[in-house]
Amino acid sequence: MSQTALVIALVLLAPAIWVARKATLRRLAWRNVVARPTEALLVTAGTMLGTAIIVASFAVGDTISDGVGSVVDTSLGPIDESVTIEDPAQLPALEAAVKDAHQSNVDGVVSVLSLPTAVTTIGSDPVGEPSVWIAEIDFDQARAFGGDPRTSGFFGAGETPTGTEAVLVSLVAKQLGLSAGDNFQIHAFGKAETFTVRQVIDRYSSAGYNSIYLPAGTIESFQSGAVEVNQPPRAEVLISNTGDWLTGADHTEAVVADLEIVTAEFQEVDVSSTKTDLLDSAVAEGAEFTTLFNGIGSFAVIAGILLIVNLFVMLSEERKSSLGVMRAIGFSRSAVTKSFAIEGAVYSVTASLVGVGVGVGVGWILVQVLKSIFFNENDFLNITYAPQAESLMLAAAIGLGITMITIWATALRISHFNVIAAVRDLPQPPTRKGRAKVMIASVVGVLIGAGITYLGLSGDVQTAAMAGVPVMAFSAIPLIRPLVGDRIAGLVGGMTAMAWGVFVFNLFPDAMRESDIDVFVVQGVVLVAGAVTVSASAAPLWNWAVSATSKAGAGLSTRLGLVYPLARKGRTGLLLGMFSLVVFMITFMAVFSQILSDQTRGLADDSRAGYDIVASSAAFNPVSESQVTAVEGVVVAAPLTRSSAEFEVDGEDDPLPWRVTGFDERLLEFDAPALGARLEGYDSDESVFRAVLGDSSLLIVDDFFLDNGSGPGAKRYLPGDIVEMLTTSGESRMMTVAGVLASDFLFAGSYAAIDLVETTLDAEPASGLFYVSVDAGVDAELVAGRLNAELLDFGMSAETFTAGVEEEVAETVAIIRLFQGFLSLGLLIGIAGLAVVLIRAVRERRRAIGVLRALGTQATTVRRSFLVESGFIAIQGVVIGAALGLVTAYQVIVNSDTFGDSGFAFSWPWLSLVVVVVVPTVAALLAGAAPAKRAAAITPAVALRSE
Amino acid sequence: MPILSARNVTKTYRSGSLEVAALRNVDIDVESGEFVIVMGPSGNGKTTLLNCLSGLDDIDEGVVEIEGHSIHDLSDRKRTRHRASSMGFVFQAYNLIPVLSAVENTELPLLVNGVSPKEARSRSAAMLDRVGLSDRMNHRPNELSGGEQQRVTIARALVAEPEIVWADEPTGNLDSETADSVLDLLVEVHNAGQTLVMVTHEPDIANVADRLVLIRDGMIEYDGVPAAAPRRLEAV
Repeated sequence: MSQTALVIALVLLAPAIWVARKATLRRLAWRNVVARPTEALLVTAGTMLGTAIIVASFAVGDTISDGVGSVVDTSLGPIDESVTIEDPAQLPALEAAVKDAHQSNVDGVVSVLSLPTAVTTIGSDPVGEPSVWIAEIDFDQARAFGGDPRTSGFFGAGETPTGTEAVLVSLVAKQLGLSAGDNFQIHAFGKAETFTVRQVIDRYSSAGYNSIYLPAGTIESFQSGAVEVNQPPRAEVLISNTGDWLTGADHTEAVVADLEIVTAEFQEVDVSSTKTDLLDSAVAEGAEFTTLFNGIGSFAVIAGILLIVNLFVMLSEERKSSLGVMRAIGFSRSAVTKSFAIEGAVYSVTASLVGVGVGVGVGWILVQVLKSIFFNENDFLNITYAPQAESLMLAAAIGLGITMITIWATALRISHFNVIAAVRDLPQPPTRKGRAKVMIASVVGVLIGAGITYLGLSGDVQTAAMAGVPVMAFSAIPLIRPLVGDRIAGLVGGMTAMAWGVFVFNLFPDAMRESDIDVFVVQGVVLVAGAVTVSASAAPLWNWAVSATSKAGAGLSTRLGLVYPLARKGRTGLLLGMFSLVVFMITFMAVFSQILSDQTRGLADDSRAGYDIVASSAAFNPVSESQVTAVEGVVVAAPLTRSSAEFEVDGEDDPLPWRVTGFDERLLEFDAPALGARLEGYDSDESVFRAVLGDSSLLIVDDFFLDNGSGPGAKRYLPGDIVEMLTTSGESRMMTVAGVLASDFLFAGSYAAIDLVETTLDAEPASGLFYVSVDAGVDAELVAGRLNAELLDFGMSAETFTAGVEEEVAETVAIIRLFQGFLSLGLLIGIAGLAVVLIRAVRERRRAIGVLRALGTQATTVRRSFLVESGFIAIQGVVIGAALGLVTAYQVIVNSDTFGDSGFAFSWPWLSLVVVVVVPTVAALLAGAAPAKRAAAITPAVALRSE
Repeated sequence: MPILSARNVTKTYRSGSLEVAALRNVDIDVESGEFVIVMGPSGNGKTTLLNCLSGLDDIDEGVVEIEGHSIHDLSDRKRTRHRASSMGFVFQAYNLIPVLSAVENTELPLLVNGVSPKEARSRSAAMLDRVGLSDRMNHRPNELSGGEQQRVTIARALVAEPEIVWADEPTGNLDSETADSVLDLLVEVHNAGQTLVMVTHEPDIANVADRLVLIRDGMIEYDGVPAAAPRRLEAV
């Protein structure tokens, strides 16, 4: 794609470079560039900002994608497949069988035995990690695995540990604060053993597959004599394919097929495409975020594009007169076009190159913020800033391409101007041919819009459905203008587009069901374009405003400040669009951020069934109910069992796994988790839960049940729906949805009777998950802390429901804040763009300012008029954007299929609104201050002498 | 007593090391109700004289007194206020504000002087009617002919009833017929008592004025009645 974009950009640039060999044209263009260095700098700087934001967006996308690859570096290395076997005793035989198969695509086989455990430090203030994988592997074999000892992860790790030696991977060593020579304890199956750190090795390659490497026989000694073994050790044979770490995975399909045959003689084996599964999962996770980021970031990118277009339209207006003179003295249309294109190309190329540098810097800042929010080193996805040359090239090519398209379009437009009109800087006289062209274009536009609408609604192409009617509405404006006049035509077109943007989800809920982020981007553009059109058509309103302010004493400066933006509708529209689009999205997101923050308490209450704390211990070392209730302050502990079942879903080839939580009477001791909907005939949420306990064909599901990531609009399950559940043995059970949870921030997934979960889904009893209530008047946070401290050996992780929800909400809100931060760059572009436009306006209106000053207008009035102009555009943009953002958010939350009955209530983000309104307005006034001062300083006589 | 008195006015333009003396020790008085024509070859200081006398431009030496005040000693604010209340300007290139209609352009001096918008509109409409543009009031400059634009400029210059109107080659961009009609308008205005100082290239125009000032190389070469002006100097 980047090559295509680059080729297009170069194709657009090439004619400008080609014609630059003509000395006259080149000289004319170059003189225009150097004659007004400040103006040239402003055009370049503005264009550069547009390119920079595109580059930054791409660089962040690259970084996320690169994070996907990091999982191979840190956790797998040469490991491509694995074969696990239920009986660890069979592991040597399994390894031998795989080795003996001598598969041509395989260059390494090694066996490993591993187990999740709790690890604690020793001392007066011990710390612990509830789930750490310990492993036994032969270090010599591990080094040989994959063909290159230096990249095995075990290079320099010495001999296989013996006695009480342990080799720790750097991450766990850092988490526990351990280094060579330190002692620590491992807890599993009710036992605790002490080990000494012999060495800490990097979390790299296959060494990162587990966390602590121990002597052979350690796991067996933990197991021997254990009362209860909830989670058996993982015995597996790891396989490395030929080729490097990434290309090796290309052989996985063939290797897995062979392994299935080779291992057929063993009982209870499972062949996994470890690397491709992990990569697929990481790619999906990365792609989801990248799509979201790019979608939301596109608002800022569109603002950048509008700035580029605005600047070059202004430039072409400024050059109109001199290009008209060129035509008058005999230059051809083509020469005029090329002369302007050469000048534009100088700005464009410079801006693209500088923009890449600035964009890379902005991207770096964004990634640092991103990392601080929700990626940390033990996350599945680890990110390091990694912009790709290809993406940078693509971003630069897009910036260059957009600029050159704008340049060629404006140059062509100028070259077709009436020569006298161009020389005298008059508007182009309308021609019959021109009018006919507009009418034909309008009809074609309406037909295309109708086609897009049909395609969108009939084929469930949501972006097309969102764009179709607005395309028709805008295209129809020239058609209805002769009938109703300019103003009404604009109002009708703009309001139709806005109404469609707001209500399309209600009008066509089925067609719009699976709307993705790109639909919301189109929606933003449609709403803002509609609002800007309405604003441009509402001249009487502004005239009234001018009169009102005149009466109020604001007078001349207000009148002068408004007259230019009202007269130059195209330019004002572009500026307004820049502001409104970005503010729209920031406001929209602020509403969701506010709702989440406001409803933390409610979301916790929905989940907790009257309990205070959710406590889970490690499956390999579970605590018992009596151990939990023995902790001071605990009154009742309701055990739950978590398992997973597969469900058949319409339209999916494979069944989807979903979490199933088993519960018994004790969950209902105080209350029941809140339901958003329940089966008819039940008068309370508790009665539904009790019904599920008594009927193994009933299931309570969460509000995102079986949503496979397609987001808002996926099929929503309702009480009475039947869903096919596959048990562990492969048996199909038809389950009726008895209720839908109001919210499920703790990821219960779905609720079923505990007996059903234990008997059909192979869940081990007493898996160590409890809802805990505390004594009245006792601080639940304090008790949660006590549980963690006293049951550290069991990998206990206890927190209050409120804290759990807050943590989840905080992460989501932080992500929203990051997006808002990125969008603020779009706002910055809007403000910088406004400053650039005003500075150029001072230049453009120099003579008019001179006249005003000659007529006795005070310098302060001239200065104020420029401040009024910048404030007018900023305030209007902010008001349009914020109003549309609020209306759309309200519409989505209250009336849409997705959120309508989710229990979310619309909430005013007052603080964010104040920031969104005040900051851009103040910034715009500040941005207007310098040009305003410059305008006020113009000496009348000098200005009147200027061209 | 003259409404304007200038003594020893000197103005030099500087561009890098280049210096051009635009006005050299100019002395001139303008009496109330006078119609003064300033003539001279191009680039000899006519427009500079007008700008300096009106206070639009600064001077290097000398003094320009209007109503007993040295205009160049006033602060920018006071000088601007004085311009608004006492002066009107007509430019060769019209210099109308392109985004304002004829009536909006005309009412600007009134609004600057703090007249209410309603009264300003009414007086402007009346002034446009006086210059024969009552049917073009709501047209923007680019929708008007050159002659019409200049009439709007004249209307704008007169609407605030200034003590003195400065006109810098008001007929320079017009064809002879249109120029005649604009000149007739200015004569009519003068006949109504308006003090008028006009820069022009047109020798014929000088005959309609009370007084002719000929300027060459930044110095006044003749200052007297037009009929007595040396023919050589007048033919510039």
